[in-house]
Amino acid sequence: MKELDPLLHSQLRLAVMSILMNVDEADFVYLKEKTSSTAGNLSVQLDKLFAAGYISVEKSFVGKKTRTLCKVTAKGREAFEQYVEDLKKLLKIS
Amino acid sequence: MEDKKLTPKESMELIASMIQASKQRVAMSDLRIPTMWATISILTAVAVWVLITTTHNPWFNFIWFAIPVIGLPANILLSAKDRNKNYKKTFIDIVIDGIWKAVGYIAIGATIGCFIAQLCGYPSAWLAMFYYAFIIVGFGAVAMGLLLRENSYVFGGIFSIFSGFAVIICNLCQIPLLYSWSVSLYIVCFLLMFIVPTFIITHKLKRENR
Repeated sequence: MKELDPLLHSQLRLAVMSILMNVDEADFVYLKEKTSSTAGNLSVQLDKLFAAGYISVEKSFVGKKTRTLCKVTAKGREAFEQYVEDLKKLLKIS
Repeated sequence: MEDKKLTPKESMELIASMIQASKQRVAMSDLRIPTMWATISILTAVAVWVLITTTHNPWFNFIWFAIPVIGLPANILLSAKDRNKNYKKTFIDIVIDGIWKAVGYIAIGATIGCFIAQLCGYPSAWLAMFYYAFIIVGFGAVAMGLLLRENSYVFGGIFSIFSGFAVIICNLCQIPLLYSWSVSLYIVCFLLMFIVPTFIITHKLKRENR
């Protein structure tokens, strides 16, 4: 049996990827609110997704505040779709 | 939420719940800008209508310029305010932004064209802005309604487009159309295109939140 992508097979990273697959782009505050995670944990998981090339992260300033904008990449989209396919096979969903 | 491992079933449930959580097709903040433009357009039309019908002075037509003069800075302010909140942008948001930007650029182009025509001695060219307001803005409302799956926008937009064609037909056939009729039709169109849908969506959002 094929193993599930270990990078996506974690609660918070999968939640972030699911949101980013549904919206075109989202900032750190939005992701934190929707996933009910802590800033530190979310930051670590975003770094892992970024290092794997699954998301792009853009830092900018809005007024005096910084904004971290996340977007799923083509590689991330492909990995997520593959992950869902593998899940369906495991759960025997056609 | 932690960084814990999941079973396949839990993964599927998590994906479904996150999609559901980020699915909200429209937020109140998205409606603020079109509602602001509609309110300014309606208030300006009412002011022009009242002043022209009471004084019969055509110079009051310059009050129409209050729409871009007040609307553009207000738009910049509201956009900046929205950017400060938690932010997400869906493909639909990007398309809707694009539609209204196109409608805005057409308005700027049409205004410049009418201004040049006036300088050349054709002040009646400003009537083209009425056609713009009825037809182009109407198309924008229809497109937004189709994307948001909100029929009230579609209905308001179609009503406005038909009103625009009715005004064009009257002009081409030289059927006299009272100024007060055109302005009141303009007000009704903007109410149906933007204000009524905003009330309907607000009501739906409140019901969903309950």
